[in-house]
Amino acid sequence: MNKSFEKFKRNEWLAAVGMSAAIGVFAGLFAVGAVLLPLKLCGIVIDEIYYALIGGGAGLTAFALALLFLRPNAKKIAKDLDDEYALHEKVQTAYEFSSASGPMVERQRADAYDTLDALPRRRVKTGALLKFLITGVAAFALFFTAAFVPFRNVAANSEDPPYEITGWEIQRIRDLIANVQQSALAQTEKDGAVAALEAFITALGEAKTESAKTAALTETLGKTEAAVTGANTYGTISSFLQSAGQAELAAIVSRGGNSFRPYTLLSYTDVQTYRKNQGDIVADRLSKRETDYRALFAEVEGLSEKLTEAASGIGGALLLSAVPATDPLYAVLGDFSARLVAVRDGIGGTEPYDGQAELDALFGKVYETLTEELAEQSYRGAMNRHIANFLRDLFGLPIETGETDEESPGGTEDDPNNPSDPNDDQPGGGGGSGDTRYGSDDEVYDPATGEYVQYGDILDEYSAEIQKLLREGNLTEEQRAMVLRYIEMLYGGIQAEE
Amino acid sequence: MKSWKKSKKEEVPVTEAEQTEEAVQSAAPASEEEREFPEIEAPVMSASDTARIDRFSAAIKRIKDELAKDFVGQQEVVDNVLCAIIAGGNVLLEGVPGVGKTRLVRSLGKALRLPFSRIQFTPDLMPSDVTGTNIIEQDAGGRMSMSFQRGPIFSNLILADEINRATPKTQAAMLEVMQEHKVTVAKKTYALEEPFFVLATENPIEQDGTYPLPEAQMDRFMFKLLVGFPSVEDLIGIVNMTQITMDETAEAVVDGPAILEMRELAKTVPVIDAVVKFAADIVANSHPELESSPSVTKKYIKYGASPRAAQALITCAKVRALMNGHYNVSYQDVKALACPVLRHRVKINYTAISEKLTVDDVIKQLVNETR
Repeated sequence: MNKSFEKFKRNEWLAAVGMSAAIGVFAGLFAVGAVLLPLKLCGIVIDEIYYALIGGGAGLTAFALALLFLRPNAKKIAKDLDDEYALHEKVQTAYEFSSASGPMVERQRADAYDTLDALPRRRVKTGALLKFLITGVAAFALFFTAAFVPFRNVAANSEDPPYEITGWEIQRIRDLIANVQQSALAQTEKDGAVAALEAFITALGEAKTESAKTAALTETLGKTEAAVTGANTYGTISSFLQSAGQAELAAIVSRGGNSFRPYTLLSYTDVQTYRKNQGDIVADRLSKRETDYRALFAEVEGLSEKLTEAASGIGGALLLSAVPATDPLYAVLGDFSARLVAVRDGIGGTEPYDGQAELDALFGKVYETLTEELAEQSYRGAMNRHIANFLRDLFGLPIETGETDEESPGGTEDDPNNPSDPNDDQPGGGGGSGDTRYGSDDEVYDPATGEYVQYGDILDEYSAEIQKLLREGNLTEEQRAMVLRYIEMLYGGIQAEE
Repeated sequence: MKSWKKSKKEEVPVTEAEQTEEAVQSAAPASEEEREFPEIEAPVMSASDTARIDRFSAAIKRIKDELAKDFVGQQEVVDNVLCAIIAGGNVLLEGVPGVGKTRLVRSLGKALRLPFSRIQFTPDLMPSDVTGTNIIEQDAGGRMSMSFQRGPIFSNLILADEINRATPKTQAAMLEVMQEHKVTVAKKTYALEEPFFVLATENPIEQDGTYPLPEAQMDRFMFKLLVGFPSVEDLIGIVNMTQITMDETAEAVVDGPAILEMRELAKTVPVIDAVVKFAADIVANSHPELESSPSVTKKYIKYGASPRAAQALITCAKVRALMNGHYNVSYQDVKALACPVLRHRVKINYTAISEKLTVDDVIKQLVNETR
């Protein structure tokens, strides 16, 4: 007859385990909802694994605690039966005296067994069930609310607004990558710049805030600069030449390595054109020295001194610069210095010495080699500026225009108003920052001043304004591409007028 | 279980402990985890054991039926008096004259086949008038000898009428007999025949010429029962019944040994620890000096009940359970007996009196706050 009590006991255990499991589920949902909702409202994103850990941990803990609290024991079950069915402590007495003997206790026990056998299935208390259901509904409501509420967009004037990369930005960066790959950079420099730009796309995809985007951009600019201009040494050598009293040569090196402008690199032909111009610059700068040397050959006295001064100055500057001897510019200038020494040593010798021929060879060599190397370094610098300005413009940062020879020690040689600068005479020269003027001479009306200005003078500003509107405007991809192509045509058309 | 041994006169009767052989209360039970209900299909009892238990309920029913022939209404009083007799206690009745107190005891005596005597207490009643005294007798040869003349106390059922009219000395003698169930006169002890039951009555204390029983002696009564004026229906029944005959018509259904057997059987009724604790808590909570006592106690009670009250509660609860056909004591049994057991043991203070609260009101509040 004790089977009836065991049946009640088994049912109580099942109810306790079921209730504990439900409590565990509710607790897990509550925990996840309570964590997820505030984070979403604050716009903070964390990995989904953390939600699983929070929910699982809270659920398991709640299950264990609930089972510990709800687990039934025989004495409690007996009491609950007596209370629920108004049995006047019959079952409790039978349980407590289960090991006693005697006619009365045995009679009492038998009576209790009969009563247990006749008891109906225990009713679920409506009040408790209602509370349970309400708790469950609340847990699910909180969870689903938190799951479906979108992440709050942080206000525009927030210190760190959210950011999400667009397809247009990805496309523009890919355009830049194509630009780099089609350029005249060495392959290693191209690979380095392309790798940095690919990594930049990946970093932008992971960035969730403006600060993260800016950090990725800054890092990319540093990487591309290191990749593209890592081999440039003109700045270092120029400064040491200046210190060694070789101001003229220092200015040539400085200016020559920094003469390309980004907006002239729209096609490879521009490179060729500019290399020609660069050669003219070097020849123009060194021609005075050549004239002086030639004149001095007519007066032997003083030439050796001049040559010695020049050779020692150049050689010393190269040594002090700590630039490796394998650097091409170092090699060019080193060879020039050595040739000066050779010319000097030839003076006053017993062997027949044709000084003018030596000077022809000397300057002919330096014109060619210096021009070539400076053009290479200048191109790298210009390409780096092109990449940097492209990205800055794309992401709304100020464009660094007119690299006015921040590394140049001299000033007169770089006077942007110097009419002797061949770049100033570039055909079709219009407005532009720095020394170089390019663009159309056509005039346009400036409503701000009421005057007519040259188109080339305002082309850069016009282009920058268009880029800004492209970023902020609501245009389709096709519309954006068409506008960009228009700008390219403006620059390209202006170049074609040369 | 050995049957009750009828003690001879002037011999010390065998104690109840020696009569009881069965250990019906278990030793320390097994732990809750280990304890299980034993695998039995039917109670393992002998036919005699089962018969005794069955006879108890039948006997109670028959006694009540017989009493109903002579006593109309006051069913609670009748039940509690029966309970006290079986439990081995004495009862103090309080009620106005003419409500049937004497008739109840007479009918009980007939139904239980027990000799009955009535002692009317007056201020000039001496202790020897109750217990008896030695007198000098002269035999045929003229020789003088002392002979003990038994007093009215030597009976099974005693009605001590208006006990509070007697002097304290006489009250003390009476109460000593109630407690000891023996009389000592001139250094000689005479045992009273069992079962021995005293039903004392008390006049309302506001009447002059009374000697209220001291609280310590009130404690010797198991119950104090209030006999109220009968309802109109009961009064009609009384009038109709007594028109036929004034004599008691109850017939004997049990005898003294049977009462004693019922008493022993009632002792074996199991009671769980929680119920015992409940009874103990009620008595403990009646003491205002204890910090754990409820607010009602601290506010309305002057002093609380003695440990005898807890004993009385459990003993009588066992009897009550069996009388109602139950085989275990419940909280309900204890609650039902709280007022009869405690009303003469608990003293309420002037705050309760000023708020027109009776001792029963306070006891009921106390019981409610205990569980």
